[in-house]
Amino acid sequence: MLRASHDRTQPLRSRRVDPTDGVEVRQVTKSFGATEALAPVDLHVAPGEVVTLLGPSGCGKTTLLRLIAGLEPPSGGHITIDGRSPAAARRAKRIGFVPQAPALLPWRTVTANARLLRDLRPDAAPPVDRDPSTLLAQVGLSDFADAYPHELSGGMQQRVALVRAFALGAPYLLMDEPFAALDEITRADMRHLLAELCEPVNAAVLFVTHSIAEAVFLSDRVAVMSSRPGRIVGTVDIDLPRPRVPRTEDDPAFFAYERELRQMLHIGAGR
Amino acid sequence: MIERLRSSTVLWATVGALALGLFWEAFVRLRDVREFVLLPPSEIVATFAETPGFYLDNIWVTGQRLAIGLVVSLTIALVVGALLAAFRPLEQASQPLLVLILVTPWVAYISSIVLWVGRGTPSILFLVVFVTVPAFVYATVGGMRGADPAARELFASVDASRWEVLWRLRLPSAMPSLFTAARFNVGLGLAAAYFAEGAALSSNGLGEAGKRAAALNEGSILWTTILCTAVLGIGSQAVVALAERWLLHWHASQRRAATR
Repeated sequence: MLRASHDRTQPLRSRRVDPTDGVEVRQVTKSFGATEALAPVDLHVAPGEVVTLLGPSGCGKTTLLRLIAGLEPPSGGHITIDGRSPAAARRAKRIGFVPQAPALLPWRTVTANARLLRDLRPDAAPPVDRDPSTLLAQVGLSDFADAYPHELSGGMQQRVALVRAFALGAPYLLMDEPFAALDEITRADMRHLLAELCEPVNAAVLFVTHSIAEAVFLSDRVAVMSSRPGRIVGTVDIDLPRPRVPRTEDDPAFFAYERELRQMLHIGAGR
Repeated sequence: MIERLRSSTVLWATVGALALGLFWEAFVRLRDVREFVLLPPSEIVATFAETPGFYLDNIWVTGQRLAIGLVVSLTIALVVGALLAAFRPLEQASQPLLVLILVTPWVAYISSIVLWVGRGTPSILFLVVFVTVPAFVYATVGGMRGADPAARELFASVDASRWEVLWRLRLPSAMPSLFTAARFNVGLGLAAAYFAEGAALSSNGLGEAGKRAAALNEGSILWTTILCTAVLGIGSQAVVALAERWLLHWHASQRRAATR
């Protein structure tokens, strides 16, 4: 599993050339009626960078992700993806979205589900051609290619959902707590698998979670959020070597980052 | 072996049907029921065997009217339902009409239909379509509305067109409720067809044969016609059930293991 020739110890952020590249969130706010869900938020995700939004339930991290995905309009501020609006990025199929529930279509086989985002609007060609069956093999689902979603466990369904997003070949992957519904053991497997999928792709990933371990393990950078109103209280660069492998979690630096983030979450909660 | 016998659907359905037939035969013979009130199964079979062509022709005619009526009704309901599912005010505005169709007894207005669309087949088809449309529309609207919200967002994340959402997400989502409506509508449509054939001055069909037999006090023909109508109904239900098993194999309702 170890890719020996891989040298990605430096966060990819440093490779940035054009300042309009990547996801740019500037002074974005969101209110639902009188409730202020997001106070002005600034965030930048460079191409190829893995950034996690970490925070407690109801801190607006999912809302922020949905605004970036263009599923909801912001109340104020600007969001651009490679200089374009989220709506334009969706039209160009530059966003691979992974929802909280796997949302597999029960009438489609595993392979057909993995192909779904490619099959929709076939005129908008995906930026990179990625073979769904190769990806399914990579996540260990080759034997289930012709199975239907109801025949799979929850963890397997979520793996199909990951493959579906990766198969699109989009340069931006937006993931909304994709492992929230899974048990602790499966969750650990899933984050290892996700790191493995991300490694050769060089897509930027914006990952929403309330799991500190997931945030440290996956990210180049973690943005810690706090609630009422939702805001980013600080960011932490995770300077752990890549590729991230299960062993990374035994690294003393890993524990140090976990501790730092836990403390930030407490400060954010006003304790 | 015993476990397989125990779970064999066909076996137990056959046992049930035989038991019903025996009870029916015995009841009519022992109580000496008049033939116009109820005919024993043995005599129904005998009457059928005298002129099988007559009954088969009528089953064919009524069956065609039922099938065409249901297909037209389903087509209309899919178009109308998709529109209603997309525009909520339209759905609310359509409620009075749909409820009115559902609750008004069709026995009452069949002569107006005959006057309007003409005697015979046009009136029969009209009534079958008219009475079965509401259930199909409700099933379409409810099923399409119930499409998984997370899947809808997924479709939105690549800017899927309205047509793609309709065809690849909303229509398949409506399939389970459409099949439930179809099972209900087969019975309703058959009753409407039978009644309309008797009332719309039709020249053939089971309903016409039954009406004529009743008028001529021919109890044996009447009961044989009634049983032929029931057989047509069972056959139609079977067709729906087979289509359901084929098209809905992915749905929880079609899984055997899950019901144990």
